[in-house]
Amino acid sequence: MGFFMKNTSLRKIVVTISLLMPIGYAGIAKAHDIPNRALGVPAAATDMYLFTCYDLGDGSGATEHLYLQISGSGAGPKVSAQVFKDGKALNSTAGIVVGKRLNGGDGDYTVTVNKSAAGNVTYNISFHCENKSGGHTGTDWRQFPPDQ
Amino acid sequence: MKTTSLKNKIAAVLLLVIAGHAGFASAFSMVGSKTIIRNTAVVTPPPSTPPLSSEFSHTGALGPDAWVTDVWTVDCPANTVHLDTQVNDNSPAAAPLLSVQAINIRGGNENAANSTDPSNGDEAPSPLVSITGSAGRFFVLVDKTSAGSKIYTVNIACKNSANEALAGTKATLTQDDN
Repeated sequence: MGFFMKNTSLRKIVVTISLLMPIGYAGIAKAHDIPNRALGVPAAATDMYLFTCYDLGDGSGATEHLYLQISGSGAGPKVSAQVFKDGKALNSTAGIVVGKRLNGGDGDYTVTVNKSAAGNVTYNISFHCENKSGGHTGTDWRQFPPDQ
Repeated sequence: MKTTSLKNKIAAVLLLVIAGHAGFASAFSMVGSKTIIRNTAVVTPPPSTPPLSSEFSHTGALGPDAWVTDVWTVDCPANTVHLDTQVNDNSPAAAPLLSVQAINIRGGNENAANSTDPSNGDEAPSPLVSITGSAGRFFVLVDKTSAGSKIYTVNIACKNSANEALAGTKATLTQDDN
């Protein structure tokens, strides 16, 4: 009986740890988000951001690349983002992940967001700076005015 | 009497020459919608932004991957107050859509604009878009909305406060993703 009790407690502990582990992992892996942003009607409307990647000094090391994914909502124009650093650039249209294809290292990445035609759209950006192994490095961001 | 009659004739000829010249210019205007170009009989008001001449046109190609992007590095001369650009999709295939972005990343004057060509294989480019700045470096990106190869013509011009394209505009393809 005593052994059973002990075994039950042990099971509870194992189950609890098992439940907590994925939550903790999800917290670590979760990207930064810029949710529910909007672009106005003009076809030329473009939002402009600055993402800064840096070494946190916690052993995770230097940044290799900026992970970024943009998603638009609704059936309107297609939303795209361009990532630019040191004369190199690539494009991401709704759903395409920008990652190791532009290994810009630590520093400032300029990101522009726009759409394929006139009309209102809303969009979300998921992003984080990553090292070679995909671990997080320091990530800051800000938007340049005006918010279009 | 003879002198007056002669004067009237000269004036009439001059008016006709001027009218004919105006009609010629309207018929060959490169700016505006396809409807305007086809309907040469209609006199349209002058565009707010003049077209860019061929010396500011450059050709390029994009490979099949969805994320590929050409980067044109643009050095603008003195008296520049803005940079204008537009792109023309010269490809036979309709999809994907082709876009151009002008960006100024210089501190304190960061700004950007986008222009997408809604149709392929015709002579009508995307709308002309403009960003502000001064003499120095700008970047122009050309990309597309999904996978598929593209060929294009991009017009890039640094302009002064009178909206005149400046001959000192220097555009170089520094990332060629064909």
